[in-house]
Amino acid sequence: MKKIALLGDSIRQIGYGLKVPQLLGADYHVWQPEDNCRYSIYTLRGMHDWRENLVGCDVIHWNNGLWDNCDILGDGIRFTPIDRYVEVMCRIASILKGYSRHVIFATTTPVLDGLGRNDNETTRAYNAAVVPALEAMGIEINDLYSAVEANMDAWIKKEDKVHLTADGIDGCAAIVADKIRAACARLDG
Amino acid sequence: MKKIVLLGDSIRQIGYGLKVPQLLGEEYHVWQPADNCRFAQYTLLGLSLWSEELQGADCIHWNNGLWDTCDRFGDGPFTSYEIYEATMLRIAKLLLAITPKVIFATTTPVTAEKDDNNNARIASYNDRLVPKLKSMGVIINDLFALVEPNLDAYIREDHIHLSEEGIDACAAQVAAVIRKAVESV
Repeated sequence: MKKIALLGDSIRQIGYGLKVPQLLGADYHVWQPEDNCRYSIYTLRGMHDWRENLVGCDVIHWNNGLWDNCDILGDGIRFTPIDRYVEVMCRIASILKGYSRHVIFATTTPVLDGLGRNDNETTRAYNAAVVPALEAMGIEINDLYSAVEANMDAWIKKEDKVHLTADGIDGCAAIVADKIRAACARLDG
Repeated sequence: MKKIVLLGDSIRQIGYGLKVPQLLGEEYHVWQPADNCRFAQYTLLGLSLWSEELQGADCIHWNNGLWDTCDRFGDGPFTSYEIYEATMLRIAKLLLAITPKVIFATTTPVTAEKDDNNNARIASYNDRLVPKLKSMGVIINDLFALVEPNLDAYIREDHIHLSEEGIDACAAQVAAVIRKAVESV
């Protein structure tokens, strides 16, 4: 039995996280918090409370970014400025590597035009800043941004411009499950 | 009727915040979130979530620091000082746009038995932040200095939260600082 943990914001909580456990099947035990992991430092703090569920994992798959790169306070500064985002994400990665045999980061997914608080140019900049830093630490990257961007109209809800549709959940869950399965196979190899 | 807002972690939520409304009396309407404001960036997001309640405040009293200074993972403080300062100054700027009467209460000390925090670190965060906040016009309520000489009486057996006596003392000082700020021109 492989021990898997999923951490992430609502793209996981009410998105791919709903389908990944059934896609992985009976040979995988998947734990994920009921809580929305929101932003990077909120996830970091959560890792203290969830430690028991994280230690000894074969694979931890995680995403954070939509809350961090949003402009929610109207003061011209992103909720988590990009340099601090990278710093906290690397700290999360370092701690997760101590908990799990393998760690995968899923890039922050795009939004539909007109959301207001988020825009894809900023998300691309945040992804571009964090991905090389995480790769240098040995974190595997699951590029959900690219997967979703190629299917925006079908995969992102028109009502809220940010969350995954049923098609988007199916598409992202399949990618996440494949990445986890492949990582486990490599660990066994 | 003066509108007062209290923001802060459990030192407020299950501490002085329990007594301040009654100490201020009927001429003050006190709003405070039911939620624990936890760490600096958690409070920062709260400023968006609670924007309606914050609007029109005559005075905002706030504390953050115990969650930020504690070492949860054995790799140093939960929030590095640099991020703490930047976030706290950002909070102060946003609060000062609501009212010129913003009060920051310094982070309170813990007892020596607290294994994931210590007063040298807390004092260091306070000492570096306070001059920056003062220069922005924020009023300082030095709860650290009030509690520190009375640790045995003011701090509970959990080594961090205020005892009944600590709540009474801190609430009295918070209410007095708020009253003075509101009554000043």
